[in-house]
Amino acid sequence: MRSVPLAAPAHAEEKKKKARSLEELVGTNWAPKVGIVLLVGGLGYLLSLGWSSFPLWLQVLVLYAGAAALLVLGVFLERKDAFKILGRVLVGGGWAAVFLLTYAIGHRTSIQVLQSEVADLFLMIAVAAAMVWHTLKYKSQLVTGCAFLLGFAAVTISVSAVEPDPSHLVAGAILVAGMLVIVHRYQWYELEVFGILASYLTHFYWLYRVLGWPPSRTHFPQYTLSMALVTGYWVVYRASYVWRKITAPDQERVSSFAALLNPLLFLGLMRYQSFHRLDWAFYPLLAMGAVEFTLGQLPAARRRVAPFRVLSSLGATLMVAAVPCKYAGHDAMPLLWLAGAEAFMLAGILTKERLFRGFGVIISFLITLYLVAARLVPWADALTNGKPHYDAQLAVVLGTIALVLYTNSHLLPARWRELFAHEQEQLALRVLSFVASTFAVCAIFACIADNAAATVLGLMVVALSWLGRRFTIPELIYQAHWIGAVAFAQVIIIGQPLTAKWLGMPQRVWMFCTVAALLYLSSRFVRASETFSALAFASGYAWCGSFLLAVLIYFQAPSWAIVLWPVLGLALCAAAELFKRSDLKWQAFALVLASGARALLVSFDLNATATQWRLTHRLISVSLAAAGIYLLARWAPRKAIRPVYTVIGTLLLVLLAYNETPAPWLPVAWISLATLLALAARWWKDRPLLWQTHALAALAAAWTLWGSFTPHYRASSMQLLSVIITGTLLYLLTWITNVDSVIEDARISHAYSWAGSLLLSWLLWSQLREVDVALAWGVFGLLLFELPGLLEMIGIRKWGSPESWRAQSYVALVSSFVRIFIANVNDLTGTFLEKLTDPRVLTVIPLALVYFWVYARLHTLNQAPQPGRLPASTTQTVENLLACLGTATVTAVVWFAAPPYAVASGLAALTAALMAVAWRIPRRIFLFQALIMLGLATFRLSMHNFPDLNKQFSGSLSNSIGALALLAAVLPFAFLVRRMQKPDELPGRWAFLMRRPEQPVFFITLVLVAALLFLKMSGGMVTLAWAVEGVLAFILALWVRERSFRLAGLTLVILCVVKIPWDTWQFHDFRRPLSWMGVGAILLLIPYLYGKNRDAMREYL
Amino acid sequence: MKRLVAFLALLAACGGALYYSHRNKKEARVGPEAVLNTLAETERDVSRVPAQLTRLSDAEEIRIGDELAARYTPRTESTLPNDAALANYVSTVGRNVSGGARRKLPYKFHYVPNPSLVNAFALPGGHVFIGEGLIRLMKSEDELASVLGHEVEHVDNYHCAERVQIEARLRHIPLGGLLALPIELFQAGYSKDQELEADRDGAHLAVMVGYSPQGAIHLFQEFGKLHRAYVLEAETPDQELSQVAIEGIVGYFRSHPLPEERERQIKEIASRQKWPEPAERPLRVTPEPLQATAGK
Repeated sequence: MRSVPLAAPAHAEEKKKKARSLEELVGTNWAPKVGIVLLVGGLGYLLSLGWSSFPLWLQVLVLYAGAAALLVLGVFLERKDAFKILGRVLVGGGWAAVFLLTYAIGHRTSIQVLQSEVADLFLMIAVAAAMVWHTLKYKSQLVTGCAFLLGFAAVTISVSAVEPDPSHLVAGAILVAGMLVIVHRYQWYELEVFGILASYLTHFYWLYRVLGWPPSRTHFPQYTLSMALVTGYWVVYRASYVWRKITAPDQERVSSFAALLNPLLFLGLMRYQSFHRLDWAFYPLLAMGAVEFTLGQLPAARRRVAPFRVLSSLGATLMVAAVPCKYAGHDAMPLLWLAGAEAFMLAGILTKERLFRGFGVIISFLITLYLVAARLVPWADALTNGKPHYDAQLAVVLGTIALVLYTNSHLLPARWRELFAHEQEQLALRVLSFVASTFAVCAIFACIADNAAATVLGLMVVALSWLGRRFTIPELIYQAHWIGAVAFAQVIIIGQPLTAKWLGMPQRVWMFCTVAALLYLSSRFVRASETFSALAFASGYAWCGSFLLAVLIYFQAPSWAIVLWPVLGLALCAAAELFKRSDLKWQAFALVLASGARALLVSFDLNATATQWRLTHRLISVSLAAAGIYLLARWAPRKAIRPVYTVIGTLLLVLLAYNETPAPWLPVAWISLATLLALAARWWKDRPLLWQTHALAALAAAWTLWGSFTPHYRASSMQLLSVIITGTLLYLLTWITNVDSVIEDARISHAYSWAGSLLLSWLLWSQLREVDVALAWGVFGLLLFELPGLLEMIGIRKWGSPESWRAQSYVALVSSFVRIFIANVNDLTGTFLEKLTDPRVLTVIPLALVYFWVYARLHTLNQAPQPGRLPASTTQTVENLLACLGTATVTAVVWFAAPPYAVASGLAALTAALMAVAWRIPRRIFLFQALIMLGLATFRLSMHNFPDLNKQFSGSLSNSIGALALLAAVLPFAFLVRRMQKPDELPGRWAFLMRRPEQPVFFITLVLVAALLFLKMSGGMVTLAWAVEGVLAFILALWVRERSFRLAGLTLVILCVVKIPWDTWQFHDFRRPLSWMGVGAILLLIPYLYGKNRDAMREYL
Repeated sequence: MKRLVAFLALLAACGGALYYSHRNKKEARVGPEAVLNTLAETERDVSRVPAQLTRLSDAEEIRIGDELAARYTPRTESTLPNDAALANYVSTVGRNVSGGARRKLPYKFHYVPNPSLVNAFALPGGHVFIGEGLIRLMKSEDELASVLGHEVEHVDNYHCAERVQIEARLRHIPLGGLLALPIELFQAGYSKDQELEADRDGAHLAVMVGYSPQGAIHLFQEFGKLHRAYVLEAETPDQELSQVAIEGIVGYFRSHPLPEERERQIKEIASRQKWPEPAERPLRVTPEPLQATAGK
């Protein structure tokens, strides 16, 4: 019974030794050596004990001592290279602690020992000064920065404590001055950033105390001083920025950030304290912009480049921002900006400075954004709402800007090509060119009437496409694309109601024809250009032109459109031949499709009133359309789509047949027609005809399902006859359509047999009683499975594929299986025997035999694989599925026929039977099923039987014991099966369970017995019972030489030991000594058994 | 040859089964009941252990039941003197029967004067409602006692409380929000196992206080007649399929056992336990004839 080891590597031996020593330790020594109680002291408790009772001064002293200790430790560690960073952090932390303590002793009531706030302010400044003095020794920007920030914090705190006073501002100014000196001396420009923030924010807090939030917007006494001081900050920081020495790139980056932060905070503060109207800001902003721009041009700034860029940009921004303050909402504003942009652009060209040209481009984009948001969106809203949208002023503004932008985008770069060589600049100008096109289109809509706008747009498209091709400017071609789309949409939207005549013709005809002609013309220019997908876009223009003409036909003569569209298609085909353009043939094809679709949708309208007229009109128009379609098939753009034409014709014929044939025999008529088509296809080797056969047969089958199985025909001879004829012809078509050289996929011909089988299955349902359907389908599946063999016996070999017939058989068998659960096991009553002899159950039992028969036959067939058959994995899956169906059917009988509490026993018996089968017939599927059944039995037993163990009228206990006994009986078979397994052939996921089936059987049984004992025993008896169970498992393990069983038994005994304290606490009667004595005896037995079997255990461990 | 013989034997067995079925014409109900019963049983099997571990306290259950009953009580109000007498009668029989219940709860019995309510149901905490329509089906007090015992056992066996717990879990609502649970949830019935358990224990309660088990048996026979009258049959395969699908959805919580099965169970227990079978007592108070009620 010992399993053969696969390999014995060294590490596995080592692992075994460790496991053995641990097991020996547990088995012989663990029980008497349990229990060391651990104790841990509490530092926080000790602290809480003494702290609150200390005097206040002592608390302060101790805190200061702690902070001082941090400082001293930091100073000490800072001297060592390995702890330098740590030392500095400690110094910073120590000083911060000292400063906070200094604050707290004056402001925190809990440890307040100082009553004068002025004295505390001086103390805080003194601490900050001492910190600066001390930290400068280390030349640490971080530490000195902390000192200054604490200084600013001290000032802020003092402001919050008393009435705001100008002296606070002066104190802040002094801090700023001191800090700037250090910044320039040590080049600590990062510190300046925090200094800027601190100084402005401190000032803001002071102003907030004076003005409140929102600000009062009134004059206040210190206004002049405040403004002067803030301006002074700005001047000092700006001067500091321009005239400084830079030695590293990082310093320049930090300086640039400070340079941007300075005016931002300055303007914020100025706005906060201002009490003037907003338009007053125009002049200061303009002046400040001019100053910043001028500073940027100074030699000191130009030398470092970055200040030149930053200050010039700032200046330009401020000057641009100044304009809306005075001219907001006026059309002059974009023109003023445009003037500024052009000034920058020309300055950039003349000075060859790209930055200035960049300003011009940026301002142009600003103008774009402004116009879109402030003018075009409201105007477009009016346009879409049908309100008057003519706006000459807007048209002039947009036209002017469009003209200037086109000039900037195309003329200036053409003239000064070397200046505009930068890629980003070219990209920006290209974008502006598109903006110009947008403005131009808007200008057209703002000043041209609706009925002419499309034509003007069409002319613009022609002009842009010609210019784009002539001067090789791709952007203009692309603009022509979208403007062409707009013109096309305008014609579609506006064109239909234009019925008024002009020069004897409706305006609609003029508009459609003119725009179509312009689009055809543009198509030529676009086609000749060298732009992205030029051919595709040129084709698109032509498609739009043709579409407009087709729509025009529909508007002018809707009832004859199905005839005139093919005529237009013929004209297009003639043009295609003339100009050698295949896209025109595709347009003709689209017209054919449209004609066919309209014929189907409109000409077969059954609601026509006059039958004779309806037939006549339909006859003429559909016939002409069909003739045109068949004629156009000659000039099909591809040979492959020619069948589309014939399909449309055939479809029309089928629909005519639909109107003429009586309903009950319609599927027979269609399937007959399909048979004729199939014979023709077989004769002429015509694949499209074969496809039409497929469609027609599918239609006939569907119609049969829908029409022949209505209650009216149920169990009637007419149903029987018509469905059998249809099914037979479908089976016949399986052979007719199976032409090797024509049919693309042999599976298509198999589909006919599938349809025939489906119809016959439904016929069985309709003709038989509910109880018998499952069995009838099962027998039908059985016959289908055996049909290929029977056909072969009588000499017919090429009638469908055997795999196809068998697949149908599987479907029928699965259907019969499903049918069991909805028709055969409902409402079963009576005893187990009565239920078994009920016809509903009795007809199920042969089904299990059918499934096992097909399984066995398939297994035999799979042993001799033949060419052309399904892959082995698939057939194996089907084989397994059929075996599962058989077992599941038997399980269903047990489940539904057995009394509720006996189901678990039934499942356990099935587990034993399946395990025995797995032993006698060594096929893995039965072992797999046995394991699944084991899971089911476990679930049923534990979840259904066990909860009702203590209920009255419950047969749960006896059935549970019976089920457990049956599960225990599985164990010998499981060992026998284990001996027959070949480990290397087992699948990965189930490998362990399949290789060692005795493991789940044993452990599940063990756990279930333990659970049963727990539920039925009382108190300490549970402990004793578990201990007995554990030792029995242990003895069994020694007998079968199974280590896992032995460990399980030992674990159960240990669990009893753990449970003893609970029993001791819970019970106070005899159960306590009983459990103690019983478990003690068993504990004595365990080492005895170990000692007696030590050598044997070590051998098979 | 052996294979052919075996194949023919198999076909013969199938043919024999079909012939046997043809000779013993047995009505078959096509529907999802078997699957639904299995699902409901499985759901209960899975949920009962967690439900036991997280069970509501009696006080909490009584509070929830009182609140739910207060919402339904207006439907039990009537000004007719006969309805008051019937309500009193139902309470008397109910108190008598519930005396043997294991859980000592304040059981309250309500009569619903609605002839179309052919049903009885229990709420958590011990409220039991019985409809006029159901009492009209009865001929003896023993039948009434069996019905009330059945409903008491739904409370006694924690079926109502478990439903509250499961609904709270499914709807993700706290216990406070459970008061908004629809009453129909408790009218819909329980799983097949729970119903059979309530039948067994309810009949036992009635027998313990001197009623005859024949009361329950006669009532199930009445139910059987009603059930047969309402069975529908599909006309086409697709209709059958859609009928099964629809019943599968709406009938998930209505997996009652067949009346015949319930009747058989009581007969078996009565025989096994040797329950006494005294003569059935006629109803002491009956609903007034429907025409007379309508006239008033």
